[in-house]
Amino acid sequence: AGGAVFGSIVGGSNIEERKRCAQEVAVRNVSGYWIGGFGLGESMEERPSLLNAVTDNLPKDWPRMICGLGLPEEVLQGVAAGVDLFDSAYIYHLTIGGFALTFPLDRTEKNDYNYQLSDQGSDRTKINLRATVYRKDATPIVEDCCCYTCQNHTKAYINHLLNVHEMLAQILLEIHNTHHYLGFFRSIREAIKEGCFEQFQKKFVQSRREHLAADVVSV
Amino acid sequence: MALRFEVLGRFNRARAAQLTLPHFACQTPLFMPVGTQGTIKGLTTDQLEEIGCQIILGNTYHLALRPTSELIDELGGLHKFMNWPRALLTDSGGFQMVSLLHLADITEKGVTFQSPVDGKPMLLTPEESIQIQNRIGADIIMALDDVVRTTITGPRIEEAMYRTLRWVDRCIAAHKRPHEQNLFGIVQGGLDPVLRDICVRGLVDRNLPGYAIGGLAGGEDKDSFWRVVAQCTAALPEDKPRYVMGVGYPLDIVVCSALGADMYDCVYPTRTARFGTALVPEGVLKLKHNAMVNDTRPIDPTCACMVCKNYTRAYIHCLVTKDAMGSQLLSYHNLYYMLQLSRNLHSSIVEGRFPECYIIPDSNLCASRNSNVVRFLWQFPKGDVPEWVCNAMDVAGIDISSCCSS
Repeated sequence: AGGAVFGSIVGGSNIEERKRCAQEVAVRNVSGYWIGGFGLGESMEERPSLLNAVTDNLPKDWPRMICGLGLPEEVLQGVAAGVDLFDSAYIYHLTIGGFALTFPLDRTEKNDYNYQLSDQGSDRTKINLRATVYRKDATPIVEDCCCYTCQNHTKAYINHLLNVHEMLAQILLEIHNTHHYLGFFRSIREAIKEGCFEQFQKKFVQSRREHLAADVVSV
Repeated sequence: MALRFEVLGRFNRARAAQLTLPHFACQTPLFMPVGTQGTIKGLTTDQLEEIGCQIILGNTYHLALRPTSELIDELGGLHKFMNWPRALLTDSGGFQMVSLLHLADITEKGVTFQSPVDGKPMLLTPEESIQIQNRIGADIIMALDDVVRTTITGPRIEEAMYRTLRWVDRCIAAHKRPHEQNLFGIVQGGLDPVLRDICVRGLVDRNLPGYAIGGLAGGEDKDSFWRVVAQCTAALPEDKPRYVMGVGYPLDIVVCSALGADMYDCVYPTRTARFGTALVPEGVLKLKHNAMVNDTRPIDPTCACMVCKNYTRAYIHCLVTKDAMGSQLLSYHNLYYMLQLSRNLHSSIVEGRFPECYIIPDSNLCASRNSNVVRFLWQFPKGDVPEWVCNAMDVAGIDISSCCSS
């Protein structure tokens, strides 16, 4: 009775099994592919070959959906391998932890953003709004973000809401994080359309590693 | 004085007015949602504007603890801090005296609490309360009063009433922003008409911008409750707003408005939402109940709010038992319900049809003129309207005999 059926592809961390499963599902009459079993402990290094083992054996004309890849770098790996749809609880976990995404979405060169090293759990990806450094910060989470939260509220207010355990904190964070994350996907689409996705991925991953290296040096 | 109060219509003692405050021109009778810690639980300021909220209440005690009034002041006041462009009212912190009495020591100086955050003693004097409220920056601020539970009897009530008057003078002296913030005095005196009278006259002598009727909504019987409200509204000046603190249930608001009160606040609509209870014309609807599992109707088919337009009882039933969104949706609806009640009170008084729309359940007048009328006496389909309501409406000069079976 109506509705599309997606075929599931499993195989753990075994390249051969992944390949075999993909090949078998590919000959079935399904409307798309659901790739399961990722984001469960495989390393960043081994993931691309596992993903390719799947996608290389799937027809190009049907959508591929994956579950369990949430971090921006993981998403980029999925996109590089030819995945179209992503489902994860990444945003949920960020929000529950009081984090807000801040990584630059702008693909042009940007100057270094000076993050306070005293932030707990803050890096160039995200900030932890529970940190006391934000108590009096009357600026929005991301300066030119056009989400409801950034257009209407300050880090100081959200910091206060988190401190007093008010529900509005999660609502505002979820709005921003969802908006920001969807903006990331828009950047990916644009990069693909302009034929420079590989470059986009390299630059993105590199800028995050640089920041971490800088932290190590200055400590 | 930083307000204007203009009566636009009357029905006997009931009045509909425009209360113009520095941040917003409000229409009374009005209900103020309680945003204790600088937020109405789970609702954005956009949503509050959407449902027609005019003024929100913030609590001095809680805000002074976190994030502190100094921080709020530094960031430009509570309006700016929470991004609420309309009106705000802060209470004095005095009510916590009653709620936390076992931790409080009340003297002529002020009230000592034990801070719930770090156990340190906190002294709240009238001067300190006003200073905190000056920093927070609300349109209306409340004098620190010596609040006593109405269930207490004896000389303590008289002591508290006279102290309230002495403290109001200290509040007036400490108030640094009288042209931007309106200091309301609070009538105390328990359930004793003599004490209440002395307090009213004392406060009126001080010529304050507005007056509150305090010390009620604390467990006293309804018969005593309405009599105190009736006495105070009769004695307070006509040309100034009257605020019944801590009220309340829709029925109570309608009765108090009939008796001549203008402003109300209560945690009830939002608190009951968090327990899965929705406000409806017939009374309440418990969304957690199993009967809701398959009910595809909206909470209230006559309600025009976003929740009733978009969600079914069945869906909300699922949420209330599992997810914060359930409380959020119910809070939205319940506040819309209370604010719509306020709007209906205002317009029905202005248009001279106050009694009909509230009293006659089957009136075609109601159906055609106002599809969202709160037919509050529909809560009593068997005609078993409580005696206190009948007595109060009698004094208010409103005939509800058609709704009573007795």
